[in-house]
This record gives sequence, C-alpha cells and structure tokens, in this order.
Amino acid sequence: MSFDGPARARLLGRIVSLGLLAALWQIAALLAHSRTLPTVTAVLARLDEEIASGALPHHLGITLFRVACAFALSLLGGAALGIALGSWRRLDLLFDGWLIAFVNLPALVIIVLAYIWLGMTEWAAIVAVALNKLPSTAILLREGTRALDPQLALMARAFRFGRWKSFRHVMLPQLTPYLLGASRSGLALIWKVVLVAEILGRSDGVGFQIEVCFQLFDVAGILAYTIAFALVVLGLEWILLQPFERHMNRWRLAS
Amino acid sequence: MTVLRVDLPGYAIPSPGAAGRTQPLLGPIGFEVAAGETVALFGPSGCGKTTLLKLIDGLIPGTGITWPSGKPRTAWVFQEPSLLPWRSVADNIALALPAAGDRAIIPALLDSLGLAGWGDAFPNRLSLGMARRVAVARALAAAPDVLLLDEPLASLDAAAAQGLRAVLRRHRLTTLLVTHDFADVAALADRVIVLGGNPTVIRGVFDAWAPGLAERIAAL
Repeated sequence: MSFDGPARARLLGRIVSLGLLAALWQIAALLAHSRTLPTVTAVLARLDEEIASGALPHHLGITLFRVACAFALSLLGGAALGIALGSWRRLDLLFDGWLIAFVNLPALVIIVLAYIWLGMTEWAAIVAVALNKLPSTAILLREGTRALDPQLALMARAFRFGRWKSFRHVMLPQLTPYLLGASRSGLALIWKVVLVAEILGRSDGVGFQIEVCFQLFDVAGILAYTIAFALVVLGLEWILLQPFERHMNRWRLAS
Repeated sequence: MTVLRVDLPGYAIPSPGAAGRTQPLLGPIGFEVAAGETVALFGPSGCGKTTLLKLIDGLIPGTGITWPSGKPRTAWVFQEPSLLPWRSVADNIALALPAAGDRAIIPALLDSLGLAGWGDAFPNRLSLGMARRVAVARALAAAPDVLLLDEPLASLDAAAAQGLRAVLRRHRLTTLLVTHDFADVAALADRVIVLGGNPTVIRGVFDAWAPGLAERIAAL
C-alpha cells in the first residue's frame, strides 16, 4: 500500500475521528460514573487482560473463521445465482418469488431452523449465516448482470473470446462495483448475524463471550470484545476493501 | 477465388410490441466476395446491413452463408469502438491477439496508426477518432483473413475520417464494409452492393470506381 499525501491525510482523518469518539465516550463515562458505562481506559485495560490471557484471540479467531466461511459461501453462491438469474429470464421468473421470500426472512428464523435441521454444529451456524446474506447478494448481482453492456458482449463474441476470457475480461470488471457493494453490506450483516448464531448455539466465539459477559453484567467485557471485533472489521475495510476498490477504479481516475 | 458465397433466403426479427411475432427484415439476398476484394454493403440506416454482417460471421444463426474454403478468421471494427474501458490501449489490443500472438507487435501497430506512446493510456483519454484507430489496431492484431467493418467512420470529423480511410486502404485484406456514407464507398470499396426496400433486398451492384456512381445509386 502506498503511503502518499492523500493516504496520509486519510489516515490522519480517521485517527482524529476515532480519537474524538473516544474522548466523547470518556467524558460521558466520567460524568455518568456508572457500572453500565465504563470509561475508555477501563475498557482498554480489560481488552489488554483478555488479550494477555489468550481468551480474546481464541474467541475472535473462531468468530472470524465463521465470518470468513459464511462470507465466502454467501458471496460465491449469491454471485453465481445472481448472474444466472440476470442471464436467463425463465430462471429469474422461477426463482424471483423465492428470493423475495428469503431476503425478508428474519435472521433468527433461519438460524433456529438450521440448528434444528442440521444439528447444533459448526456448519449449521455457518450455513445459516450464509443463507441470511445470499439472497441480497443474488439480487445485487442480478441487477449488475442485467446492466452489462451488450456492445462489449458482442465484441467479445465477435473476437471469439470464449466463455472464460469473456467472463474474466468483459463481465467481471463490469460486475466489480456490485461485488464490492455486496461485500461491504455482506461483512456488515454477516458479523452481526454470526454473533446471534453464536449466542444461540455455540460454546465459543465473540457472541458466546458477550453472552457470558451479559450474564455477569460485565459491560467492560462486552465493550472490550465489541471494540476488538470492530477494529478487525475496520481493518478489513481499510486494508483490503478500499485499496482493492481504488485499484479496480484506477481507470476512472485516469481521465 | 471466391471466399464467401451469400445465398440468404431471408431473415426475420421479433416484432416490436408483439410478443412471439416476427417481421421480415431481410429478403432473399445473394452475392459473392472474392479474395482480397473490398465489398461495401450500402444502404439507409436500419435496413439490416449490420444484421447481414452478423449473419455472415455467424454471430446470428442463419442459413445461406457459405465459406468455400472453410470459415476464415474474421475481425470486426464496430461503429462504437467497443474498447474495454478498464484495460489500457495495449491490453485491449493484446486481448485480440491469436493464441500464439506476440505482444511485441503492438507498439509497431500503434505507431502505424499514429498512436505511438498511447499504449499505456486508458480508453477514456482518447478522442472518438483515436478510439476508432485503436479498434482498427485491435482488428489487425487478430491477424484476420477477412475484415468486417461496421460503419467504422460514422460520426468522425472530416480530418479524422480521412486519416482512418488512409489507414484502412493500406491493409488490403478481404473486407466487407457496412456504410451509408458514399465517401466511404468511394474511398475504400472495389464493389458496392446497394441495399434497400422492405424487406431489404439488393437494389444494384456496381464497381466502386464506375463513373457517375453516385448518380446511378441515387437513381435506384
């Protein structure tokens, strides 16, 4: 990652923004002086304890594994389904109603049914979380496929690109904004749903730990795990998604 | 030597606004193209010239198209340059190279089209005339036996059109040129097939250098 002027300004802006949030929180906590709102320093101390004991890396790692598996499943499955529905009208007519039903199904229902049908297993949790996101990814990619430039498709056929070359060089770049949109909203949704799945049916992970902290009325613990998870998600966004998006859009900036 | 024989019985397209119904676009059309010849398909907009070219190249399924020596390698230059905006000029050309093609030919190709130094640029930095020249470079990079030109000079200013005509004249490949501009016929074609009517049929076939050609076409 280059660290030029604009990148440095972006980083500085983010540090200032997060610092402002922490300062407001600290002031509110000092004024409230309550068990229900610990200070930033108390939460950071708790975070340090959890890291030192190895509990946080263990539970965070397990949750991230579930997020990664569910994210990959929902993105690949949703993209394949969306592209198929956008390409074949009859298939779309057949499955359009299913998509609308699934996209509006509450996450809790899918999780509970998955645990009942597949057992209280790791894969039941992952499949349930993936199924929560898959329909909206499919809908986004269906719209993207419908918006593909027919003139470029004709060019690819005229130059006998073949299926893989057409997909890679002509179709995929046009679908990238839709894939990025699905990735962003996917990550945001999946990590929330994973925590619910962990509370309901797993004995490890950040969701499980938050449930334990809730039982003990340990607000500092809840916030410590939440901050750790939020930092990971922000890191993914800043280190992976945004640079990738800038790389894919560099041709737009070249004019 | 005849490289292409067209004996099209006709071609229909879906009727707009009437699901399941079709309407004839092309009537019976027959002609031949000899090796090295440039044949212009001349007719008004919307008469089905591009559809005929797609039928000839097999991009639309149809009957009555024969390539006596086997289907040759074809390459298109479209009215829209149809460059991939996320790929550089050189990458756009490279994608059309045959399987065993060598990227090393691209700088010389760009140079021959007055685009030296533009290989790393993205297409959104090019004027329409430059983008069309890149499209010509891409077509030539495909090492075609037959060149299919679909209104490649439409919407260009006079100077850009003249420059591109000079480029196309240099490469004497067997060529089918779709146009509704008489200047393209006069500059590029050996023979012109005038299309018209409803459905579209051949109204006349002329040598492109025949005296009084414009008047004879206008009189059809």
